[in-house]
Amino acid sequence: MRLIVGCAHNGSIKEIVCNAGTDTSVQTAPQPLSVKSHLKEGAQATVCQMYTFDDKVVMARANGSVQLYKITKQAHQKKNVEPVENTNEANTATPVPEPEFDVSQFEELSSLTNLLDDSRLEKVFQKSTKRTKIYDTFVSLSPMAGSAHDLLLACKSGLIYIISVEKDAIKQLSRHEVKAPLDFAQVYDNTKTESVIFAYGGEENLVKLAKLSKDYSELSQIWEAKNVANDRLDMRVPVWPTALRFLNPAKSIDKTDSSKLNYQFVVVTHWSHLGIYNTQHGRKPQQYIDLLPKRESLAHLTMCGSAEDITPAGNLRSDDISNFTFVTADLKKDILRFNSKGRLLNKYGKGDIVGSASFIQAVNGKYLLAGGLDRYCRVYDLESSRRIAKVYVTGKVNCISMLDDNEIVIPQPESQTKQAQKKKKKHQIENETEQDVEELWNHLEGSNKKAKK
Amino acid sequence: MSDDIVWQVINQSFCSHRIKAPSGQWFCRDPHNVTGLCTRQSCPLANSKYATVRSDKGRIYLYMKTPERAHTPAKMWERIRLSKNYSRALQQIDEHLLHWSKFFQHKCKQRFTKLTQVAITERRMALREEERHYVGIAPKVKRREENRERKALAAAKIEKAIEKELLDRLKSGAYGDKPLNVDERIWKKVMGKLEDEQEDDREVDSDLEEMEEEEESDDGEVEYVADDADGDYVSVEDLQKWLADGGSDAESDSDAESDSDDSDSDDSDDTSSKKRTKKTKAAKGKKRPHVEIEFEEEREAQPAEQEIAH
Amino acid sequence: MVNEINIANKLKRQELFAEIKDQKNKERHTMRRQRAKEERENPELKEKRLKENVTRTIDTMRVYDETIAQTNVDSDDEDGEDADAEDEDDLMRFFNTNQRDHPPKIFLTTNVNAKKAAYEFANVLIEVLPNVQFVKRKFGIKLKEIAEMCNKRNFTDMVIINEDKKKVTGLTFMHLPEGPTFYFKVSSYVEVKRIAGHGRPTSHIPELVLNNFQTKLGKTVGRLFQSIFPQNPDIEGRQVITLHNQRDYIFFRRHRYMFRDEEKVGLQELGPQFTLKLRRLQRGLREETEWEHRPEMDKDKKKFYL
Repeated sequence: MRLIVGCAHNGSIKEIVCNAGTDTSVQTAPQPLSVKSHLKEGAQATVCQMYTFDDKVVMARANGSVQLYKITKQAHQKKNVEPVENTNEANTATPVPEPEFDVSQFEELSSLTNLLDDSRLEKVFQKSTKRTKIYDTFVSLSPMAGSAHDLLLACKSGLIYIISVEKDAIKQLSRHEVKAPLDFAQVYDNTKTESVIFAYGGEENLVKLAKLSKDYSELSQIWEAKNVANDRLDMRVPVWPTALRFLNPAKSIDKTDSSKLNYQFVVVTHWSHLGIYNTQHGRKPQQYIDLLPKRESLAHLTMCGSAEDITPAGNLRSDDISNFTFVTADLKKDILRFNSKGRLLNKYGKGDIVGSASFIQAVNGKYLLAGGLDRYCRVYDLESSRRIAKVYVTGKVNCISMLDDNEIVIPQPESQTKQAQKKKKKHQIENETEQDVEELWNHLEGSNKKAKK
Repeated sequence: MSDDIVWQVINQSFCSHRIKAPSGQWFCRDPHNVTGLCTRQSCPLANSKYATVRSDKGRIYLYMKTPERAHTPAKMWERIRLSKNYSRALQQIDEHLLHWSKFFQHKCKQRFTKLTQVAITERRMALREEERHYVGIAPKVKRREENRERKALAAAKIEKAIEKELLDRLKSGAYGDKPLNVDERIWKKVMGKLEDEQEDDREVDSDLEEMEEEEESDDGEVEYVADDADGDYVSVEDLQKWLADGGSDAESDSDAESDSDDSDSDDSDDTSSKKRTKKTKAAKGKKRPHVEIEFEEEREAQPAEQEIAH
Repeated sequence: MVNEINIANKLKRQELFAEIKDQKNKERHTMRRQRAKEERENPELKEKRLKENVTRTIDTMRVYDETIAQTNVDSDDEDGEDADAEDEDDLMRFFNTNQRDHPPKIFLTTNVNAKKAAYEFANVLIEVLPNVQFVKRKFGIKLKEIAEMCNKRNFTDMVIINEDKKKVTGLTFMHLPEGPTFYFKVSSYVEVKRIAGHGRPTSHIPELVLNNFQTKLGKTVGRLFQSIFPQNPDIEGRQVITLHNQRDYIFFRRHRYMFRDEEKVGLQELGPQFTLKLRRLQRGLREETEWEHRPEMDKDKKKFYL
């Protein structure tokens, strides 16, 4: 498979080419075929968001620039003659053939700069529970429902940009401001709509639905959630949605009220709640479930489903709000899969992950990409939670994107057929065992003699 | 069943709610009990007319039962939600217990007060930032860590490692060309060796050695780059004089420096710190009047007082 | 051998055994003498022997860790080359490597409701840490407020002593203003009085020796200590502070040294001694966890994280 990983330490992206079973922590396990860093721009310009389509990739960097790159593939350069002779004595005659695969080259086509504004967040920081200063970053970069070449780019400071990619150029179409801070902006793309609808929210910023006019020039808020009732101690429940995914609108026609909006979505919050909203039902959530004890923080949300069930923006194509599963991550080390009832189904990477996950995403209904502060990029099997690959990337991971999941054929060291090999192996084993036995006997006799002395 | 008979049974034979404190007092664990004591008056079982205050899911209710409903246990208790306003709630209790005995009127109010206080404390605790989170450690794990630490210490051979490191630094010239921490005689010897090595290096492949040195020093240690200030080092006579003085100069120097540093920072911060004192004063005044507030700020403003902390 | 001496008489048996043992000792001694002689003539032999007879310790058998930067990476030419540079980049962001502009200034405090032990330990730390200011902790001030106050006064680090049941159990190091936060368990603290033959420290800035910090995590920890102690030591003070990492235990020692000749160094301990063990590394001021110790991690004796 081929992954692109945005690293936090020097603003580079790394292209990893590896096969299933790769594990850099174990020397004997298969190692990644290639890990190459590209486009290093320093720690101030780390890649926060990434969106790939066709042969292009759009990257939003922490220094406020958005860049468009073209990916071209090139055959991997084989290494020159390697000194393999002294390492393995058995088959000196045949040097290990190199697997053939392509590596990508990135070519910058166009870029936009100065899209972030830290000053908007100063007031937010005063009220925030965050202890370190909040800097503006890009929180989402996702395609619009209608056209795949128009992208919605949201910043933490509440700035929303609509950018479009036309041929080899990237262009800013419009700029809007919404209430800061934002932790996510999620585009609705389950059904075809006349205008673009998206949801946003953040710390002390309840989920809001907004509508963009057709030419993206106007933005209007069409719906706002309401906080849940006070808790047992009659205290206000803190608000901090961290991720949101849409479901299909509720279907049952007799119940739906056409005068009201009809959207369904799922939210996880920093205070470890799972909120299930239905705009028909009202502004308060239909269900609000505590997922973890002690209100431990949750971030990230990705829905589980087959490849057809997930829209390009990551929404789920199903209108059943009582039957879905999702994966989320806490700020300690766990990546957890829950069902819609808030019941823990399984954990990913038990005992392996040490740092909190900074990125998770389910891909193709098959894989779960996870990258974290422990500087590893991991790929899991979504259903069985088995680990497929684990690669050390020397920097904290900001984002991962999977370009393809093709296995690269690794040529066998000898050109004989497999059967012949097996035979040979068997023969060898037999020989070895005989030799071993003899040696063992000799050894035993020797030791006996010694003992007698 | 008459109340007296119930009480006779409870008092003289057995009651599952009754417990005896170590002090010899009898308490009652029935959730409806208004005082918590096991007495004839406050026993919720032996009184067919009874009133109490309980909290349910954060709300406080007044519970009442009367002999008229005694035959329907499911509907025995009538409950009234009390207002969030404290004085209004006391009025409510007064209204509902108008013709009741003084005992219930009084005890219900007492219990209501107590429950309100509990709720306030709970809220305050919920708002407080939990600084520490506690992790249990099994005795086995604790012992294992102790043992491993002991063994690691034995394996570390710390003094040897330090000596080696210091010698490395000396020989690699990290201390400059006229180090103050070495006896001159020894330094000359080291220098002689250094020069020898350098000459040797020129003859033999010098790159290798340098590489090795670099690799060794790479292991996360401090590198001392020759400072410009190091250039004006003290000459040997000066040094001897200075040593005779007992190094007091250096101390006073550094002290003076740090003093000036302190005063600088204080000057710049004075105004802000005053402001902050005011703020904290105001904030604190609301909660707990008896806490002293200015202590910390004053200490910072006057470095002389720092010594208390030492 | 002993079993084969089948003599019933105890005295005789012992005599015989002593004889055998003596003989063996003699053999060993002659062997060693001879070897020494040979090696004196031919130093290569000694080198060869030392190369072959390496003791297998837990440290040498440690589990492979890819985060230990290999010195000669031959597999991926490009990656090996820039690994070091990357390290620097990563750590520079958090720690003021340019100490000339920001000399370390440390804010020292304890946990809320600390007892005497914490204050005593604070006194010790005031001696050890440079440019430190101790402030008594007060109830009800949040960490965010403390951090803000420290930022205004240009503190570069915050150290919090954690005391539990009248014993100092932990130390939290927070780098200001952006983090990260380190939490160490403190154990086997030996006060200065208890160290036999201890010297008296002077006010010179000590040198710093950081030994054995190898992995990425270890280097981060090493960088923490580098940023806390000033990098311009007064070498005429001949004092050295050592943080020696062995099997994830970090031993703190303070010595005065003297070069006796070009191969010998005399060390006098100044104290105190204590041992740190990394428990948690968090991003920011106690925010997302980057690394946390779990008891299961200790299952494998040969796996080390620093």
